[in-house]
Amino acid sequence: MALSRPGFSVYLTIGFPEPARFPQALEALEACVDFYELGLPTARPKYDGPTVRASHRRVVARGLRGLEALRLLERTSVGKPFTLMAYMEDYAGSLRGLMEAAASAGAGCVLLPDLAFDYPGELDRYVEESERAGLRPCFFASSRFPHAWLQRYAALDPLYIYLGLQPATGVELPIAVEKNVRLARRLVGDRYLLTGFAIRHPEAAAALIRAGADAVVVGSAVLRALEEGGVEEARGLACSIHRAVHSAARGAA
Amino acid sequence: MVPRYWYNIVADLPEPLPPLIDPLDDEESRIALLVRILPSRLIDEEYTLSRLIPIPERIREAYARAGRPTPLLRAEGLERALGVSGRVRIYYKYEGALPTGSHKLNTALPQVYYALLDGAEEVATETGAGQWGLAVATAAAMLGVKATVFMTRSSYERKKPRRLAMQAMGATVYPSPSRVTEAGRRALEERPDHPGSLGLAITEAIEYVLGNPKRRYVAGSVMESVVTHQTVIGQEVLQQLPEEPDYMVACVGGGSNLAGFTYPAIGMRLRGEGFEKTRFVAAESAAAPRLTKGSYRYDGLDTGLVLPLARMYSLGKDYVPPPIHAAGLRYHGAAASLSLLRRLGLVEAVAYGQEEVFEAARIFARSEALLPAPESAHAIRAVIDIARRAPKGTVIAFNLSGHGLMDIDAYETLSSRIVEGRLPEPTGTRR
Repeated sequence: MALSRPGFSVYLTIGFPEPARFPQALEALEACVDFYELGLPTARPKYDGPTVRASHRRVVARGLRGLEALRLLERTSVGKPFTLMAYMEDYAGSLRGLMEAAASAGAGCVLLPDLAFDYPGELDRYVEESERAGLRPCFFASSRFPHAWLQRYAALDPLYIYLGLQPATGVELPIAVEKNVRLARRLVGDRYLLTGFAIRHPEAAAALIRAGADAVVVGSAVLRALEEGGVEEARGLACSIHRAVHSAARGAA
Repeated sequence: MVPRYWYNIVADLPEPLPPLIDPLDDEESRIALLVRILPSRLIDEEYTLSRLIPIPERIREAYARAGRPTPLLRAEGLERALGVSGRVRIYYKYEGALPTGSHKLNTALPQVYYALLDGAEEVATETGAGQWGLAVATAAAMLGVKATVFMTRSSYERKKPRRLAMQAMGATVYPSPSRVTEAGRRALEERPDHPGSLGLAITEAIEYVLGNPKRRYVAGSVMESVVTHQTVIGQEVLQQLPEEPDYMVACVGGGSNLAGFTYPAIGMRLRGEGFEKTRFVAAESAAAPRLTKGSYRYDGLDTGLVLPLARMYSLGKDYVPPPIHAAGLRYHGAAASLSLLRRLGLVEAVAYGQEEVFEAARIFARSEALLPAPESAHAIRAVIDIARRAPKGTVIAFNLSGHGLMDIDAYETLSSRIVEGRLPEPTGTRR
């Protein structure tokens, strides 16, 4: 699986807003995303912000969680490449099963946001299990992160390095995110740099591309739009950011 | 020369620093609330990938006016008093030379300045022994902002000189638990004789700040940005030390003092640029032994859980330490980066009771003609223990984070009882 440069991705928790309506949401967004990031529903989305946490709670309350959610993907035509997001905490004892299931479902990689923070000694095992299943690794980094780790990520030929710009998904604080993107870019060389957290507007997404990001992912804003305005509102938001990302890249070229 | 940059050790840590998180069941985000609480530039410094953070020119000037660089002195008197002259060399960085008598001004100045940049008209904070409160009151007076300080009740009653100094600077000082906030009133209802804790005082200060958008909270320790500001100490030390030490020692409350003193050296070690043999030692109070007896876990930064959770060594957010004289060491947790370094074995920790600490303070006062703050005396205790058993050629450097001229009540209360061996060691409680 290869990702386009620039790229625009939407994060969705699998099964949100309702398991029955999830395929419709995917289909509606398809024309305006380059790839999806899909979250396996979990009871403990500990590093996520309030909107994504609530989406997990809601889906889990409907009885869908973990790898069971992949069955929903089997019944859905995902028209774009996708990667999965899961918490290592849920799969520490069954990492191989997770990777095999992800590969079987057609994912490009499995992003484990808690891997570096809670299981730093498991990084190599994660890479091995990814490759064994035919996936590439992908890594999460935060806006306060050791430089040597970013360089270590880059050396492992990942599908992408995801830089979380803010302290949590959907939470916007006054942080010089573009400066962090420029620094991350210097540290990871030409590796695919995906940026996300609290991006709500086309202008903000375009600025990140101009700062050196390869791609932008939007989660909380789209989840809120789905919840409050339905698929059309979510689609409108996604399309406006998609346009901004691609025109920013053209301008930068 | 005053350093041009603060050093952010997060960029060099051997493992990624676990992020602040919200409690899982929260509908709203406490992290999001930080924008209402903290100066915005402080938040930016908290979440930066940069290894070096430029110090604003106005703050560099203020540092210089305040007496930076502070001196690095050879403790030859202490070496003689311990009988280790010619065998062990001891150096100390004297942060008590700053006008407020402690290292706390290093971060009070930039934080108050940042609050001013946000248009704030008032800053609020908590304080234990009063070192931090006095630093904030002083910085606020220098920059023309109102200051409000919630001082733990036991210190409010005992540490009268610092309270009066804060008030003289124009600060409003409340004993915590106070009747000014809901959190304070609740604590007093549960326990009318509550001695206060830093965790509770933080909750009060934050509740107070949230009551008016023209207020900002300024943090005395624990946050990475605060720790980073203190690295002016350690960067100066790197320029001043004539030889690489075998030990670098400092006392620990939330951790900014030790971090400020040691992080530039630890950073060099982590980057393979020196300090390979140096042992970094944290001296804490046995009354709040977070690094020696706490557990490494996510816990509240404040008692009321207004702030997000941090992964740190903690005794539990509800831990109420006994009212010791080194009130600045009564915090239940330690800075996340320091906690990680401790977990990885790069920082060692020891804990001392009041009696042995004040004995060390007396030895130091008589041999160096300088009265240390009770907090700093914990580091001196550790230095004395290390020096007495150290082999020939050992070099020890420690941070004398503050003088004790405003802690004279502690010396008055304790000295005779220590001599007579009648000083009971305090113990903490959980609410």
